[in-house]
Amino acid sequence: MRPLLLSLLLVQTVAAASLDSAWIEYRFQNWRRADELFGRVLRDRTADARDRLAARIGQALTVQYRMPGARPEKAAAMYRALLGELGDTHPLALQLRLFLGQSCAQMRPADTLQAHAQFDSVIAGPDALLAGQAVVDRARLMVRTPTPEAIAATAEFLDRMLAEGRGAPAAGAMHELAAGLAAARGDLRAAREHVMRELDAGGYTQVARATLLIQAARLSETALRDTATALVYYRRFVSEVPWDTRAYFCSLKVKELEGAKR
Amino acid sequence: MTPREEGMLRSRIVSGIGIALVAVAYAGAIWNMLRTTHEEQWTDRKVIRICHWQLESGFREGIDCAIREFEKRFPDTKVVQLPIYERAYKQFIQTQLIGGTAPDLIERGMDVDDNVVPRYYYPLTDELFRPNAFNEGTDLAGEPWITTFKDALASLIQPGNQEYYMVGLNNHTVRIFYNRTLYRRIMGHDRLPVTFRDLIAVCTRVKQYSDSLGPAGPVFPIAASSYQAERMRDVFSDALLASLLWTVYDTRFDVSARPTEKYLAYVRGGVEFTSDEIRASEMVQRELAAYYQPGFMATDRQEAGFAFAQQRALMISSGSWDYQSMRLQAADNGFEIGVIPFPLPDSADPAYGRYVDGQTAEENRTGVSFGLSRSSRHPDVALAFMKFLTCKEINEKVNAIIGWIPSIRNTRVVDDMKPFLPVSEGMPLVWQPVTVVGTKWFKTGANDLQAYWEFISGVTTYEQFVAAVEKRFVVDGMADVVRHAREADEELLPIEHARSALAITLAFSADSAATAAAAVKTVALTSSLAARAVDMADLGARLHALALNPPGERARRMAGTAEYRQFAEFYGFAAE
Repeated sequence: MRPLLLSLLLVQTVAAASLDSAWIEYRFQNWRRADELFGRVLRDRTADARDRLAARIGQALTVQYRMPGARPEKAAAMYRALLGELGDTHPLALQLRLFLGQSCAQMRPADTLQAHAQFDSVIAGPDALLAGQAVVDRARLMVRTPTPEAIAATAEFLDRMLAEGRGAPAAGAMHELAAGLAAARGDLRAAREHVMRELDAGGYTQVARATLLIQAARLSETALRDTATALVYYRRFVSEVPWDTRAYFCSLKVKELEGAKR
Repeated sequence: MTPREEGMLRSRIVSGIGIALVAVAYAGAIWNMLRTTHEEQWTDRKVIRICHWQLESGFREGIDCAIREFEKRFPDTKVVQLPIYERAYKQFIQTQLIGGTAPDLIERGMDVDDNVVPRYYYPLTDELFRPNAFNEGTDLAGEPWITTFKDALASLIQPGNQEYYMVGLNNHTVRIFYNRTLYRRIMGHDRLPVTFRDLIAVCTRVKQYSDSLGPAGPVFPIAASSYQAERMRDVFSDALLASLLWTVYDTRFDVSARPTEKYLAYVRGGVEFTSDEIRASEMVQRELAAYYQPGFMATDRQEAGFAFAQQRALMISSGSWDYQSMRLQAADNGFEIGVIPFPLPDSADPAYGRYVDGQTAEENRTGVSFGLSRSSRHPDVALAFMKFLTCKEINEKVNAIIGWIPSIRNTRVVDDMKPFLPVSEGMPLVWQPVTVVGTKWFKTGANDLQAYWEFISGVTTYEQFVAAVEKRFVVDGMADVVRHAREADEELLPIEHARSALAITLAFSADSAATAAAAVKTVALTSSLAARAVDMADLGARLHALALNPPGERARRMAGTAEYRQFAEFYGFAAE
């Protein structure tokens, strides 16, 4: 009995190991190998339900992101099938809806109605990180054809999401979008507000931080004539990102604005 | 023996010698291969290979020094250095990467396109945000590895998925090298040019000297190739045009000029290539180019270097990476070299003074960067060696041997390199000529360069240069904008793919540290996607508005081009 149990355990380990390898290959964009390994897990009769589900998601993702040769339509059908089998109460249902919404948004032309419907379900759900991604992905899709109407509607959507505190972990990304759209509409005061709030929210790279700091300073100085705030952000630029080639320009601005204050 | 038999015998002997030589060469090659294989494979030590194309003087010795110290600290390891000739490098690395037999550490830059980097290299992002243990006991102890680099690796982030795949050894800048011995002989003193007028005075004197040599000449003031002329154009133009960054181009309030912002400014009539300021920025080049050796546009970098090394030119512009090789080469040829910053026009300059914004800032850009190959059999050892090379003590030591500038903060710089230290007190950079929407590989770039060579070599006037550029600028610029938009769109899928991989960790991993890190990265990638969406929307909205309500003739012409229709179709405006 014991050798049999041990051998079953070993087989189980092989399936799990194939799955781990498959995800590694997926991360490294080795599509063919990833697909083979996901298929191996599915053919393995000893693989458990969780491994099988993961392998099926892996296959759908491989179809969705294969470069070149991505097929978001086919991936969408695979996610729909999975959602149909699992039902909306399954712990991974919201993640699958997000994948489905993203694949609908990646289609050319995008399946906007379906994408919005999936993103809205995720936004209404309890997972704040998924909701944050869904808010940003929905806004990106809304503004893909950036007419004045689309820009206004997207800005309104983002303001509402931020006011309601939806998808809080991605608030910085929402402010990033909202700032750009406010600037495009000529509302530079709102643009600066969003830039400053994005800086507070964090979640950006060193390079993005430099851009946000100088935008807060330039919008304050040149568009809003608010030299006191401009001075704060020029100073922060010099101290926080001294390696940037704009640091000396900012230091000159600090001297200029300090001189004007006296 | 008949003459015929004698001939045959001679022929056989010659053939025999030939065959023997080939056999000896073959045996030597086999022996060398076996020796290398034996060293790498028949050992209990963990062997890693570091591959690069830096054949400049001192580089291999510097890396050897680091290897010796590393092996002393970790006796169970062995590091093999593989220098490869530049021309064969790309082919060698690509073949090895595809075959899964690539060296462990690979100098990046000439290997594979950015979009396939995630396929062949390990991401280093997580490691970079942890301290480099080799910095223990120094003032950098406990700091994240990434911030120990002078530029916080700002230039090395992978745009496709916001990961870091490489770290670098040093910083480089470009200066003017001059033949100190010849300078003294020609000028009769050691006073070096500081301003552009001083430089022109030196060049004029060199020309007079060259004329006086008769058949023993000529000596040209400046050795240049098309490569150097392009770099000189950037340096001198930026000094006169930096203010355009915050007066004309800055639609995004970030004191930088995206290529598409240059096109927008032109189409809306915000910039005129015939303006005094832009004219001056190009005329300064033409004045200088009169002192380059004839035919410089058709000369390559090496040829220009030979002209300098053979004392047929007094000056040449080159980078800090070349300094030690050139210094030794000069010593062999019996002269000394010196280094000066670019003598830019000052505010007193009669022709250009009123347009001068000043010296531009130089980046502390991390160079000579290495990636950790996915086919590494000992990635832990390779990563340790990467950290070792870029810890304060070793980075300083290695660069002192090579004669380069260390990439790590708070390190000492050898005296030879002090003239090359990046100038941080300068204006922001415009980067590319204002007459180009991208780089020279874009349509406007190719058109600009063709017209530019004729202009700076004196064949055409500035007005003719501008006419040649403007003839196609509205159409080609629009084509370049479409290309930028498409390329930006293509960068989205790799970011979304990276985010999907993190979603899997979040959904299935039981490791709380891994899920916490995945959540942070997910937010960063979502921010990156948002930033790109803003860029795309901003460009689309602005160009669409110009096409709907053209403020002038240029916008009207743009709206009528087939390229604009492609743009409108790409954005979905056509269906509106």
